[in-house]
Amino acid sequence: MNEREEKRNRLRQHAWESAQRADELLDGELQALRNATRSDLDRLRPRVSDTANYNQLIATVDEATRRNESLAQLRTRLEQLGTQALRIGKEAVNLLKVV
Amino acid sequence: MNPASRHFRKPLFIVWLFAIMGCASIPKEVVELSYTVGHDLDAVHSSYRALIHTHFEGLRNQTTNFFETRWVPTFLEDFIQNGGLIQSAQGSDPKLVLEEVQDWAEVAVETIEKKKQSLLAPINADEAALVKSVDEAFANLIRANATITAHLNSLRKVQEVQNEALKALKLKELRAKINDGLILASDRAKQAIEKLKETEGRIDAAEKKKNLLREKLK
Repeated sequence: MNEREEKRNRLRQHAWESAQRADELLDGELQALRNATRSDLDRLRPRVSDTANYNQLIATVDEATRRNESLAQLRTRLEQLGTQALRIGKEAVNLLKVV
Repeated sequence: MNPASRHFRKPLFIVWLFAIMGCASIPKEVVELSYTVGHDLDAVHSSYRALIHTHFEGLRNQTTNFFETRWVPTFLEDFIQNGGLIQSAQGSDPKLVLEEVQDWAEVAVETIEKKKQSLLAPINADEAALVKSVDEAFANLIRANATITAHLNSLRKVQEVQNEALKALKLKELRAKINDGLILASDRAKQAIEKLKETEGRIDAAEKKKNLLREKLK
């Protein structure tokens, strides 16, 4: 450690002492400031249901939605099924022709 | 096919249709309203966050103001003496003077900054904790609302399928008639309840009058 670095460390020690003294001198004001700037988080936090409760309800509704969606697609699926069956049937006929 | 069996098929199909979702009707505005609520929840969330930030910014300003006008001058007054600034500045070697004054200034700034952060840290931590809990609450609300919107939308789709099926059976009017009948019955029940209440009130009044007369006759 060179001489300048030693001097700087001594200065840091003096600065720390000065800071301690400033804290002591302003102790009352610092305490008042801390009290004035602390927030009552329990009062400010929104009192809502917990996430687990939401997850449980959402999962149940999602399942019901999925069932409804499936029901709503019934006609389209039946139509699709008909079209596909027709296509496969035509292909099978063509295949028989080749055989 | 057995004619009797064919005869029973139609009513059974209607029962099935109504079992899907009862007689309630779902206007498209329900989905729109639910979607609008979801959108507005986002806006309320942003506003809530801005308010929180403004509140904590106020606390930070209050702290910084005290720090700059009270703590820093008190500290510097002590450190000028304790840190030997005047002796350093009065040295004979200009290079050494510059070096020592520079070191003094750097240590002073370092100490002041550290103290400032220690005063602001609890405020920043409070803000982060509050924002986290508010974000979580809004995320749950928005997610739940999106789930409800999707469900309402699925009900609408089922209703459309139901309508198509009823139309095919030429029975589309039936649901509207059942609904109207039920609404009418419900309204009549409401009116009957109101009349009952009214009669109840009159009986009470008559009872009071009777009691008053009895008291007078005594």
